[in-house]
Amino acid sequence: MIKNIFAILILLCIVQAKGQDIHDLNHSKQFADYLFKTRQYSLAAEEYERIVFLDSVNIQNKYMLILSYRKAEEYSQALNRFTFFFKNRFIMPANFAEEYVKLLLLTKQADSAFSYLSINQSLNAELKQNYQLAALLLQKKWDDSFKYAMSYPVTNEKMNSRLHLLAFDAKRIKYKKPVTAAIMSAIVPGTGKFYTKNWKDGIIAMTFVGVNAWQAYRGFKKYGKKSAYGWIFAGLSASFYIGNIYGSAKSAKKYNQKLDDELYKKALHIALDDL
Amino acid sequence: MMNTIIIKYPNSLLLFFILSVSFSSNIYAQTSEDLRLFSDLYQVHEHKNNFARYFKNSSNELELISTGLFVFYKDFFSSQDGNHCVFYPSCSIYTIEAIKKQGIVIGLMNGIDRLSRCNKLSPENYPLYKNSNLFYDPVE
Repeated sequence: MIKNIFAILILLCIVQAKGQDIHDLNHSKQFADYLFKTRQYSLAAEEYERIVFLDSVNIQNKYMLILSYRKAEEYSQALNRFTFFFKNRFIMPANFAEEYVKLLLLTKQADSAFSYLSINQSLNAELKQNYQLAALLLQKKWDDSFKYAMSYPVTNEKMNSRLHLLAFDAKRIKYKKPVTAAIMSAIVPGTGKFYTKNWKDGIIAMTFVGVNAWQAYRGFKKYGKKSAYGWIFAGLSASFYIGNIYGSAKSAKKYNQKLDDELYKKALHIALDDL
Repeated sequence: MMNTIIIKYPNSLLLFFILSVSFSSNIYAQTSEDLRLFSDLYQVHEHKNNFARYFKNSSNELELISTGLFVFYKDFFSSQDGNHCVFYPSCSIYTIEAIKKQGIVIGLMNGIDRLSRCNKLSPENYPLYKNSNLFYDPVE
């Protein structure tokens, strides 16, 4: 009796058991979603390419493909897909339009993004304004971005409030003047670098010029005008003095560039909130 | 008695000692095979530098002379004491490139400023070059 029951159970299992096609659309989709969730974006993009090939109608798959390329930092591939999927990029669904804008911002085409947003019909007005503000910030046009920020209201929406705050910070940015740094270093060597908050380099420059000048003074005091020792150290001191003036001006320019880069990174981070 | 023998026949004893050591144990000098093996351990790197590229596209004689002086320093002096510069490119290469890009006056000023910055006190100001411990500071 028990043997018969077992035989029947085994037969039922055989009837239930069958091979599965793991490369069909559903399974491929599951695998692609898994790869995306586990942040293997390059591999996910490859899978989504296959899925889009198998099912070119489903728009969600196309969106996931583009998103995978963006996350995998393959921006040119993602932009190519827009050309492939849409004849007219100004009449894309809103999520695609947003992705397109993000890709333009990432590929340093912020001016193109600004122009595109002016013409685009699918995104809502507030989102367009936010991205346009981000585009201005990413072009390092601090005055223009402040004026633009003042032209539309601040809301509680996260991107809106953060971009407005950044635009106000950008307006208040305080650059260092290279001419001031150079003049300060001309008067007291090293102080130009103190002005640009480069304390350690300033002290080293001050020390180099000071020590060489002192050695030159010693040489001339002991041996007079004809002292080779004095002239050598005078030459070294003069070289470091002149080099420090140039270096202070350069340090001020680098300081300003660093400030700009920090604002740029913050603007990019806010615009691409899901990075 | 032993002392007497040693005092009386020192040379003979010395000769006897040398001969007995020679025949009683195996003593080898290096063979040519041994020398070949050892030479593989201490490979001599030939100092080959291609500095010719720095002389290309020099706009005037003064630039050529200043580049030549730095190349001379690099090949004859700097090559003997190892790499001590904390930056990539090194200060001499930086100065050569600065002279090429910015002219002799600004290039030299830039190079001298680089010398005063050549220390490990400000790592926060520079990114690291690839997988090395050198700060990346190219001519801009």
